[in-house]
Amino acid sequence: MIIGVGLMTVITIMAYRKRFSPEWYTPVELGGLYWHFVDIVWIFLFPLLYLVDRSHHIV
Amino acid sequence: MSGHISPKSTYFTIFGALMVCTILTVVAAFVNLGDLNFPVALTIAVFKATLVVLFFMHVKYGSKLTKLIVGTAFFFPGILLTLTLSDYLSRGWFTSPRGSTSAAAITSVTGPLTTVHGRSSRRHRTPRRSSSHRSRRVCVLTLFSVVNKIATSITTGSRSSPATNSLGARDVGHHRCIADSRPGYRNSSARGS
Repeated sequence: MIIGVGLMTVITIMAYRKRFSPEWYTPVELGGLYWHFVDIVWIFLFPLLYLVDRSHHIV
Repeated sequence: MSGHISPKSTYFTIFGALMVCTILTVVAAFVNLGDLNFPVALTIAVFKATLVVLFFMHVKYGSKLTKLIVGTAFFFPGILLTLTLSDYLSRGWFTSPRGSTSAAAITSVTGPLTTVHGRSSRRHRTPRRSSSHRSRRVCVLTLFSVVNKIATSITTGSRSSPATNSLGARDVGHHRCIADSRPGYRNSSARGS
C-alpha cells in the first residue's frame, strides 16, 4: 500500500504539472492497474487472514 | 493508449457494491455455517475480484486478447490451487498401517488386515499387540516387508537393490524385533486422523 500511495502521489504531482493529456495517460492507467492488483490480493487475504474461524469462537 | 472513459457514476456504483460485499463477508463470517463459512467467504471474494477486474481494471471494455490473457492469468493459478487442495483435502482418506498412502500398499496390505482384524473402519488400523494375533501378524509383517522391499527397490533403483535384499531377508526373519523397534510403525494411524 505504501508503494501504491507513492505511485498515486507521483501521478498526482505529474497531473498537477499538466504532464498528461487525453492522448497520453499511460502512467495513470498502469498505476491504477497496480493499485487494483493489490486490491484483488487483499480481497482474498482479508477473509482468509482475519475472518477464518470467527463463528466458532463466539458461539 | 486509448482507453474507455467510464463515467464517475460507474465507479461509485461499483465501490458501493464492493462495500456491501465486504459487510456481507464480515456478517457471514460471524454466522456459524459449519463447513460452509469458508466457501461462502471465498465466493463473495471471487465476486468482488471479478467486479474489480471488469470495471476498475477496464477489462470489460478491453479487447478480446486482453480478456483471454486475463482469463489465462486466473486459470493457471486455479490449476495450481486445485491440484494442491485435492492432495491436501484427501489426506487420510486411505491410510495403510505403515502410514503410506501409495496404491501398492493399499491394495496389498489393507486387504489382509481387514480380514484378519475384521474391522470396518478404514482409518485407525493399527496392528494389535495381543498375543493371540501373533501368527497372523507374522503373515502381515512379512507382507509389509515384501511391499517395503518392492517400494524401496522401485524408488532407489537397481543400484542399491542388493543391500535392500539382504535387509529385507533380515526383516522377514526378525519381524517382531524390527517391528517393535521400527520408528513410526505403531503410531502410523496418527497420520491419517
